Amino acid sequence: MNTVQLSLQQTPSLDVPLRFFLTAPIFAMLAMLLWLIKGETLFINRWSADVLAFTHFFTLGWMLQIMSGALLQLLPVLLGVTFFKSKLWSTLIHTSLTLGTLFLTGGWLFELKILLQISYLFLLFGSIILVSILSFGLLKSQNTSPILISIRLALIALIITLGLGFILLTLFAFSVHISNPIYITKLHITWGLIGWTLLLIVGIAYQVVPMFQITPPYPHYFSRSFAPFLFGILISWTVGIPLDVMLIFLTTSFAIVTLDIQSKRLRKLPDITLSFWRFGMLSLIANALFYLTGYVWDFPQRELFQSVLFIGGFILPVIQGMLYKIVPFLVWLHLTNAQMDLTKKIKVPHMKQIIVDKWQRWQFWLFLIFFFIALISIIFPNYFAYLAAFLGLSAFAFLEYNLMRATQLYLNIRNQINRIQKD
Amino acid sequence: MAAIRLDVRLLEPCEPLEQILTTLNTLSNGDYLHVLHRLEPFPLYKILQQHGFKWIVISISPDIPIELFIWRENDVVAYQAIQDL
Repeated sequence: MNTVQLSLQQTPSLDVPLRFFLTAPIFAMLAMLLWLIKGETLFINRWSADVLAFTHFFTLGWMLQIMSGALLQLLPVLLGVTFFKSKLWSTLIHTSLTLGTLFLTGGWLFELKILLQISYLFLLFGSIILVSILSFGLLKSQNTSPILISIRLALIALIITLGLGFILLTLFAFSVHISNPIYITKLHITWGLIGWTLLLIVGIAYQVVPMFQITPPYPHYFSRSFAPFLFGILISWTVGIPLDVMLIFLTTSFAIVTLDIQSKRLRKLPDITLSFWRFGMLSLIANALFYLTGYVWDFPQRELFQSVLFIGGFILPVIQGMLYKIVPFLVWLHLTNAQMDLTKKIKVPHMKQIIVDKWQRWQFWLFLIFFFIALISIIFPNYFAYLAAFLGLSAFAFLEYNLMRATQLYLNIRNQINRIQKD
Repeated sequence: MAAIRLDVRLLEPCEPLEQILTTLNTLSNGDYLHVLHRLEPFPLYKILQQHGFKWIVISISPDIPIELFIWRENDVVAYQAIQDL
């Protein structure tokens, strides 16, 4: 019999990922509040301090928070990667990232350098711990699956993104002269969005899409080659080889392959994560089409429009879809694990009952309306900016509410289990 | 002595884990559980270890990406039956 050697992993406690997942929507709500306050003037100058704060509410406050939580919990649970003292490290990472993001955005919004300087320390501290703990766990693992190859490359992209970010922050916080900040900003954005975020989403998709959406696996030729190829293209692009079209082609290929395997689902049940993901993949394709039409037709807000398509249409829905699977699954898993020893069993709700399906669906539609109004507001800011901001605020508040309900349900049942254990 | 076969390949999480844990409670002396799975169920291993089960995982067929054999730690008969396969 051909046995596979397995290492036993310690599943981190549930509050390790939940603190990240519950904080992230609050940052998205802060971004929307900022938009609500600034209205149609927010995006007039894309390099303004307000826009920098707005984007970092999402990139640091939303994306990095959720992805840190997902990696620290999902890698042990789904792939058997172990992290030493994950609760301690995750507390430090979460606190540093949260405070760092607040000081950073506050520094920009209130034009206070001292806040930017403090943010530098918090973000540097949090980033070093995050990168170290992830590197240690990923290097130690013997697993050479495409999932881990993609995640390892995403981690390298994160290190590059953060490094470039800190170089730029020295300019804002300490007025240190750096040459060509616009070029460094372009690298920072591309490595952050295409390198870190996309590669990580792709790596997680290899596991999460077949597992939760009951699809066939991603084709072997695709999963083996996509991440190394994309990473190679990014490096070539960085050193000045004009490969923008190749990057667009690759990102679109991920969307097409994902839509294809989703169309071959082995059980065709309605599923909110599937809706979020399909919408995300269609946005990715739309983004590519808009990019390509740029060669023959242009309009002034093109860059901003495409940013909204990529971040608002792809990254935000895909991550929300993931949260609606990961959070109920982890709640169910931890409760099932906790009640196994009891002679008097407590009924653990099915995963689908942990966040009410109807509320997930309403939140999805609310987010969708927000997204389309946000797109329209880029073209007609005078009429739609406030409405978009209000809808966005409502959509993220609704997401937070759904996640809080799942947390509350976990705590209630966990208390019942604790009471029985005491008796 | 019996091999209890459980095919969870077409089930959504958390059903595979739920069904495996339910079936494990029904194992008699000499019985072992043979699970057909699409993905390696890492969360299950910790539960198995905590509750006195042993397991072997194999991956030899593209149609059945993961096969698991689970038996009670002290059940020599079940273990021998798996070894004889």
